[in-house]
Amino acid sequence: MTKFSNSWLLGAITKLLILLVVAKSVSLALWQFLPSEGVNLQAQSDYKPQYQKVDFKNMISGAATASSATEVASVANSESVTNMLLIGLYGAGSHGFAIVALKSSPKATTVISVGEIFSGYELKTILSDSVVFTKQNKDYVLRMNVDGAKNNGESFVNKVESEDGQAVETNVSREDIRSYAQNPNEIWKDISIVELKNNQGFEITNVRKGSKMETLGLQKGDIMIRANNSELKSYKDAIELYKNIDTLRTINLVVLRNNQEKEFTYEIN
Amino acid sequence: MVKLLKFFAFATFFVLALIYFVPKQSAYYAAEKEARKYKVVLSGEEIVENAFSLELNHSSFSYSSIESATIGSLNVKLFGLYNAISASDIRLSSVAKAFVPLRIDEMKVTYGVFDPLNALFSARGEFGALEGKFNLKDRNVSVILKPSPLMSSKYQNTMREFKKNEKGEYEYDKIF
Repeated sequence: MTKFSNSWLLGAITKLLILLVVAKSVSLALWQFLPSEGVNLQAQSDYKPQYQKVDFKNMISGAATASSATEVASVANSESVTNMLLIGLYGAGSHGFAIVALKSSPKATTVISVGEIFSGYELKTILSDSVVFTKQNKDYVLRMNVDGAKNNGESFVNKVESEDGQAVETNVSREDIRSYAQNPNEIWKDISIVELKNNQGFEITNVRKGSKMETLGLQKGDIMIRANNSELKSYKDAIELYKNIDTLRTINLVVLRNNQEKEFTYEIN
Repeated sequence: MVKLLKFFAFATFFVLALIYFVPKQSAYYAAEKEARKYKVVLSGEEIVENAFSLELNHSSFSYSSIESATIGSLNVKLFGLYNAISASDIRLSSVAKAFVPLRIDEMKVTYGVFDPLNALFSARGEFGALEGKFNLKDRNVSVILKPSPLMSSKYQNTMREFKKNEKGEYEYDKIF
């Protein structure tokens, strides 16, 4: 009778057990060198509040509704001021201020409060989209210059350049934004952008003449560095802006042009 | 011949034992660190170690720090001779909505020693179905797409990247 210890089965089992021990030893050795923690995408720690442009007109619209009857009466009995421009306003009634300029020098803006005098006219009342001045007991109304700025889906451009020429405000239509978002290839026909190394921003290498991109005021050589008060230095930053594009009412873009920062504000209507 | 068969049987047993004993979660962490060098990160995943595979549930896939997709379930099987990564319930980031439909039902990547030069992949989803291979030597990716009606009608910009062949399928070739 063959002894059990000499059978092929015991030999095979022994070899398998040895292999198991070797496999376990190798895995234990590996375990010593393998990391115990994985990689997670880090949450953005340098949170910056999104840029918000205060819409003065909307802020005062409530007050304006309440006093609309008074407004109509005030405006109806007033003459227009012809030598001034109303750039902006804040407040309602006898509280607030207006930003005005003479038509002869539109870049020289002045902020005046109710009761103050500008060019011989005293600011009397702030209305929803106009202000009333008084001069020699006669009222004069000055309206915001919004002609043609209807939201009809078509593009219109209304630039306001500051005295130093560094800030540009431009209105763009949401239709254009949607069109570009749905057909991203169209963007690259109108503008060429490359990401700079070391997170230095995005350089505009070409802007097609006559394109909508050109009307935004961007030029070849501009380096985009910030958008809506957030750094714009990587594709991640750009994607974050792109993801929220449908909800944005304003895009504030800072570019480096000739080593100087230049700010563009785009109001999306 | 019998000795050769015995050798393969013991070798297979050893490999399976090794796969069984290897701390798969730690091995995955090591692979994750390697993938980070290529800007690829999986976040928030629930890791389930099975006897011979690793399952990653509810993960978020990011490339270059951009959250690109969420993956319901990812199954990794690495046997050496045959390796497969399969994923299901994938939803691409809304950033991609202008290019492709966002939902992918299944996706599978396989690599085996019997075709050592090519990694094969396939996917199925709202976009239709595709099959393709990546040639590791030539670094060439070739894809054959059978687009869904949705893909054909609403994503024509993306479809322009493909060439239609005589079978009516759409082909894409690119060398990286």
